[in-house]
Amino acid sequence: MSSSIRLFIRRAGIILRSMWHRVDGAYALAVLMAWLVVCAVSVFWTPYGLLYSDAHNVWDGPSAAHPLGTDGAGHDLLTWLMKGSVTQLGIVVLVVACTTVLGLLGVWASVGSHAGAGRGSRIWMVCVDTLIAVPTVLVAMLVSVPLGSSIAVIVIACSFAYALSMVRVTRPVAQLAAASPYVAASRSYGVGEGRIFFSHVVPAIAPMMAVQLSMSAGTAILAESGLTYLGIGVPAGVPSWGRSLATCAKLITVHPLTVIWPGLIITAVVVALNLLGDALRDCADPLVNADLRRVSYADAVAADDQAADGQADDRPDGHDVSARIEEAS
Amino acid sequence: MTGQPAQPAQPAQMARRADVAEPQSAEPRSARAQSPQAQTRRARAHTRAHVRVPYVVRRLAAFIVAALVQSAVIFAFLRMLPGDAAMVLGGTTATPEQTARLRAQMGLDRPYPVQYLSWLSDVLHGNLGVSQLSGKAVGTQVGVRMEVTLPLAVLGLAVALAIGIPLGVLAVTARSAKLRRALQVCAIVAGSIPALWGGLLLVLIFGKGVGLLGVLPSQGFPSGGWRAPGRALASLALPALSIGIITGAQLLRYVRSALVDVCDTDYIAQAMVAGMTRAQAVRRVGLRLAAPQIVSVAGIAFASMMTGVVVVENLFALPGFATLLMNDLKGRDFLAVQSELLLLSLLFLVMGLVVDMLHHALDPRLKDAAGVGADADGGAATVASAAVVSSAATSEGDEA
Repeated sequence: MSSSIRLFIRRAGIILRSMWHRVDGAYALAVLMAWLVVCAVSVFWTPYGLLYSDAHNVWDGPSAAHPLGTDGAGHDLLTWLMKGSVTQLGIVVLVVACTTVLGLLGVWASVGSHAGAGRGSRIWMVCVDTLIAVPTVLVAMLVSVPLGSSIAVIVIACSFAYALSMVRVTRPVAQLAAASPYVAASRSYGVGEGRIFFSHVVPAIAPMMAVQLSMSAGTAILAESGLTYLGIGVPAGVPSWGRSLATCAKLITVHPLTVIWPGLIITAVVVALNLLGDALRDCADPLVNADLRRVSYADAVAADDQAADGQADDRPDGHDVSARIEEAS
Repeated sequence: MTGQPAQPAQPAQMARRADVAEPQSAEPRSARAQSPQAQTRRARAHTRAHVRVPYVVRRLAAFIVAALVQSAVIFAFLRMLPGDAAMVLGGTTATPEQTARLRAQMGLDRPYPVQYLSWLSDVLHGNLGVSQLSGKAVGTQVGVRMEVTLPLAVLGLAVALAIGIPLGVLAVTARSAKLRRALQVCAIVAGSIPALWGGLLLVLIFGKGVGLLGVLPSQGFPSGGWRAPGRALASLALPALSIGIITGAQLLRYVRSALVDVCDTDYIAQAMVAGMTRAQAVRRVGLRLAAPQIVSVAGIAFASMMTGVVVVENLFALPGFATLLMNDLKGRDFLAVQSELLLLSLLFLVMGLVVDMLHHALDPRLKDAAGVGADADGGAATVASAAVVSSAATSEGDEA
């Protein structure tokens, strides 16, 4: 058990290091680290309280007291942006989690227990093709009728749309994996369908899922800013980057340049999330990243002196590789 | 409406590329060579009592089912809240008897299935109901608002296509690696801009009053509408640009990755053997080969542009369909919202239908596949566009 954990840590270290050596990976890691640091800091400290309002300096430009100025109610913009990064992180994590769950369910339905040959899975794919044309904002409007403006609206609308696109994107690879001899062999041993799905199909689509999920995280931030501006996203009084951007939109005639900041933060983070997926996929792929191939499971077991329990049933991701080789040939 | 922007580009390409089609004809021929096998497979499929339905029919059936399901979902969501339109209309001072009378008047006292079916038949007869807020027919209101939204969306898509396709080609064919890299970086950054912020930046640069240049109006739509075409167009310029540039940047990445995939095929090699330069081969052969995928992706890009359209209409104070919908949503005019949401979702379903049909028409391989196996064609369009979508993000690092 400890050997597999050690292997995981070593792998993660190698992946992070090789990401750091790429320009896009380094940018993504730096921006995301900065985001996390700001989140952590703003939990304990912000320049002002969230609801503190400086009544004498309403709609103020940048000053020593308020580095980014204040909004119409005298709230400090920097404070709101910092607090907003926590909300934003929560939204992104929720969207990614829901997308993963819904997406895996969708992939399961599209692959089925018989490698996509079933009529049901074909009908499901036609459904996906049809539903994928429905824009996020439409779903959000619909959901906002019973829910009002709430974070749930963003999470539901985004994860619905992104899960569909994930199903669509990963389907060919998932089908290939589900039709592989490994699956046939496992099935002949009587391995359950659920276990087959998670040990053969999911590892095969994991790289694509990483790219898709990090892109959806970025798109979720964009969707949040749009929906919040429309009044069906983050409720009033809750800080988020979209809220700050919407506030600044009103400020445009007073201090035009203040508009720059929230949008710049959103763009920088979304770019980072877009790049993260690619970098992660390349660096976590043993076929591309040679360093990763040097750390084998056997090494980790040998390195682990008390590897008495050699029955740890985690395997190196051999399926992943073989599925790719199959795909290539 | 939705297929229109794509159409002007595609037939032209088809016509131009008809004469360089030799490399492509290789595939259909090999497929035809297998036709005996295909026939036996087909025969076997028939014995399994598989009825082979043409793609168009199946896609239409899916469209109708999806439209019905969506209408049911919309109907259900709008009735999830306690209270109904009669209570909203009656206000807080209405006595229960008054509310009950209103309810009977509006037909809200009938059971839900009856209400749903009567709504559906009304919509099918072109009667979208009456807005409780304005007292006007929803249909005419939507018609008026669409005069703003439709041109805005079409202009936005036109800008997106005008940016995405030529620059996407350039990102593949440019000699200088720096230029290719720069285009990619620009595409990623511009595609990551929130529509609201993009609009604000454009206002800061071009807007009258606030902007540096102050050339274009940044608020409202001329009250005369399209009777003053110049002014109307000018007021749509900034909104259309702000959504068009963002969508165009996303499209650029997709076009680029589709072309990169095509470049690895023998078709391009064949065209270069026949004497074209690589750039020519990509423009003449590659673009035609990638056309089905580009159409699919343009459809998806259009759907994703919609959030931007709603935001931008709001930002630029345009009296469009999205503003109407948001107002009705906030005013709790659920009967109007119900019909408007249905219209909007139908619009996108129709667009999805048109895009899939176009994709099918543009890709000769799918026609062959349709004859061979049912699961081939259902998946093929999906696989093709899915491959583009997935590799769009992937190919950033490829050329480094």
